[in-house]
Amino acid sequence: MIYFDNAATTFPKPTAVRDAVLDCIENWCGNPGRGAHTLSLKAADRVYTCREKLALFVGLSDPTRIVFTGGATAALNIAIKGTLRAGDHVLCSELEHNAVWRPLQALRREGRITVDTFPVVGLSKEKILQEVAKRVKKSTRAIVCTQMSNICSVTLPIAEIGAFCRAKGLFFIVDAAQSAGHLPIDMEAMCIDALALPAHKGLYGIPGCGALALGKRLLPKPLLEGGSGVNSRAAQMPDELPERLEAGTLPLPAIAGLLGGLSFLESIDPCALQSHENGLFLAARERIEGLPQYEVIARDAVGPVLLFRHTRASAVAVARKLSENGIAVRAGLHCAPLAHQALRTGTEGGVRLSFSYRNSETELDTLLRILHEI
Amino acid sequence: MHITDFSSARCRAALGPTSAALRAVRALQAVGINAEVVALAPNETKRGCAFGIEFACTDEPRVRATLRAARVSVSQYFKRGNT
Repeated sequence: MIYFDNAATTFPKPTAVRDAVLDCIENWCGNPGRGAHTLSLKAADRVYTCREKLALFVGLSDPTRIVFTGGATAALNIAIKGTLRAGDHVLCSELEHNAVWRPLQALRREGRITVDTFPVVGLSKEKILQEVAKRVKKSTRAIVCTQMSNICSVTLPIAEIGAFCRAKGLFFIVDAAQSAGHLPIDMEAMCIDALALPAHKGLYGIPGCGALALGKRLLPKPLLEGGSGVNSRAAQMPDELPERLEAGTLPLPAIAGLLGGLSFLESIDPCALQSHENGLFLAARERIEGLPQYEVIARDAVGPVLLFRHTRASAVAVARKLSENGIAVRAGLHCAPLAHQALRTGTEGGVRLSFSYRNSETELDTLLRILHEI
Repeated sequence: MHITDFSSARCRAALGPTSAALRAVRALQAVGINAEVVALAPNETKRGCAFGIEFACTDEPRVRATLRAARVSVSQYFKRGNT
């Protein structure tokens, strides 16, 4: 199989990830923080090592501010619903995934918050900042946005928006579901208060865990209450991070996979990885645009994700034909109808190619041969 | 064990969750102090179940200074067996 659906989940995983998961299941899958026997302490130590690596990876000095969650969606829900209060106004970009859009809309429907979007597509950094600035109200409490779209490689000027938020006293919540592992992230330098990450995409872990990385200014209220292994007499969750936001047992094999994925990323040159993915994007763009029946969307945003459409066939039909020929892509709206609307892809959406370190130009040859036939 | 043999006496710092205890252990390791994570009995702390670290009592002044510098919040220090 040729796998171009790495924005959904990276596949195949590096052997370091498989080995880390197996090591966990066989050697340290106790319950961390729930006892002081050897296996529990070993598990706690490995989980903490993962917090340390991830904190370093996102530019956070305190590993205890890495909260493990069920995924990036859970992390965003905690950050959004645990932070916003009745009467707050929130800004988000026009490129948001439903993982941001739906929690915001749920709060809006309940009459608790108001939400405005700011445009991004085709705008310079300066212009985006102007658009953000002119939408800020007295009641604005936070800006929530993605670092990179999940349907194309358009990125947002995170450092600049972060500096703006800091200057205005706003919380800055960033969805790094698509950017983590592809773009540099430095929470402290970028003034990010909360960062949501999945383990199983650009960090090469397995599904089942994600993380919410929290800066010093933000302490969301818990969305889940339950056992934390500490402070048992209290009727409420402890104040301390990460336990405050980690009710219940942690998904250890998935955390082990994340540890393996982070170790894998440490072993490769991030510039070489970015250059490889960008090279695939440029080659794919040139060759797809050489076929008159296709159009590449957001063509100037070079990165690990390329969106295109057929001028006559539906995106789903193109993806089906590719699948029949052993090529995995994703078609449709990609859980991001807002972004598709911004990119004017129509009701059908588009076909998304998303690359990883494992993809090659030889695989593009096969892809183009099939696309040519459609 | 002789009652005044402080070289082998063990002291504890109550910290709370395991992540706080591990953060303390890492901070101490960085300055060459050995410490291990221990579960504290519910009657050893004011808040019920908690984790702490155990170390040689002779290291206590350095432990206090190191954890203060690392901003690790310690709810109480005590000698093992004395709460």
